[in-house]
Amino acid sequence: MEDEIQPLLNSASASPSVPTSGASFTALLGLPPNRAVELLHEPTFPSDPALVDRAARFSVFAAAAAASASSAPSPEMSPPPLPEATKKRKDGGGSNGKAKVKKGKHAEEDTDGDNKLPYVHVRARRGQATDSHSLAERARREKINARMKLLQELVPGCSKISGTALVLDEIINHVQYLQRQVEYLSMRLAAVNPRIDFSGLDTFLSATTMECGRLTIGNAKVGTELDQQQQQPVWSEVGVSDSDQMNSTTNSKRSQIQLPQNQLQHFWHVDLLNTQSHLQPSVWERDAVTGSTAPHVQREEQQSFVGTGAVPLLAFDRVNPVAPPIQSNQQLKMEL
Amino acid sequence: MESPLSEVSPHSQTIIEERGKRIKLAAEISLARSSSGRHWARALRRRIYRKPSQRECIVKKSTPPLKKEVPLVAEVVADVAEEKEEIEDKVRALQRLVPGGEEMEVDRLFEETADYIEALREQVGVMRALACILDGMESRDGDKL
Repeated sequence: MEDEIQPLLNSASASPSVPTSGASFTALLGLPPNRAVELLHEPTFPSDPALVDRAARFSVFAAAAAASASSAPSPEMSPPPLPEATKKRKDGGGSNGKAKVKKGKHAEEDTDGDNKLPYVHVRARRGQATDSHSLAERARREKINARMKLLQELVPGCSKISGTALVLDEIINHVQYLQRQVEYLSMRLAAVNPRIDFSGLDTFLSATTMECGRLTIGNAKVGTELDQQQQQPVWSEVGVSDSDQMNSTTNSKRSQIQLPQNQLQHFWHVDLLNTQSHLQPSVWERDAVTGSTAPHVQREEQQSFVGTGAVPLLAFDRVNPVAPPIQSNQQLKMEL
Repeated sequence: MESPLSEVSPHSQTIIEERGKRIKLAAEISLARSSSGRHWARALRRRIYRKPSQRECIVKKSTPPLKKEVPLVAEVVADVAEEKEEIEDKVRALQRLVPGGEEMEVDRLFEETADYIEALREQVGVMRALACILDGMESRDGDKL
């Protein structure tokens, strides 16, 4: 496990300018639950409270539903105090300590198809049935409720709503809303400037890239200088991290563009306006990728800089290699 | 593919639509890439790279905003059953919205939904910022031509 976790932690503790701590966190979530729990007790776990909080929440049902057989010689003792405490909280006021029965249960029944969760630690409340089936049911229900709570917090305005159906309504509406936003913004980007063309897939992964300076918006001036591109189609990705909650979990994205060294007089500065107050500016960086490579290889390399939580973006795409090169310094004209 | 249009003619409307579709595709690709470890991302990717005929627009496939539904089957049962039916319908609707959702259990579905929502938010943020940049550029450079 260590060798798997270590690179994640290393990247997590790297400097903020390295965009992989987002990767490490969501990679953490992608780990099997028992490992996520273990990671919680790693001394070097990133101390960001938000991260730990989320990880803790996920570990609640992870530990509730499983005890890692590999790490726990005595399963009864193994669940860390953390999920127990949370379980106590969840059981609420109705629980009196003496009536609680803690049952450990071997999951020969993989009723849920949770095949990586060998143990279910469930607290039976007073007067509740304690046979294995209802225990499994209850464990599953609590797991589902925990995740629903998480979703509730994610969707704005959902925490005050009570009742599963209404909450689900809200969630569904929110997802639809976001999808419609994407659609709308695509159209808006398409209409914005007929001279700028965002081309599609075929050139998305093509060869060389172009390098730029910093991309930030401000009350600033668009720089009058633009590096000239003469070679094959290039592509680059720009990403920006969005809301506040994103900032604790993801980093700003990287875009990688590289300019052919032969051209070079100018480069392009645009300042990126913060649409949200905590928005981090996206950074155009030097890319190590040079030369033209097969699209597949290119894609892999470009993917490496993208944290799993980060969103890389749109392709500034130069489709047409025969497009007339940019003439004057003063013209900011991208032909694609 | 540059046409210095000041007004939008029907021809250019289609151009814009086509371009919009391509942009949307690029956005979906980057969305899928951003969380490439996730089930929904893989499912989205599969959908994108299938033949274009099988590719479905996310939005068009979604259900209209949900209201309280009258159960289709008249049941003289307690409320609980109806509620469960309602909830199940909504869960199914959510499954349809989230890419790859149909194959998932409810608990996994919720987890994936949470991640999907976050990724969508980021995507929207980026695109919005980009639109800002380009709007700024457009208005500024309009006279430079």
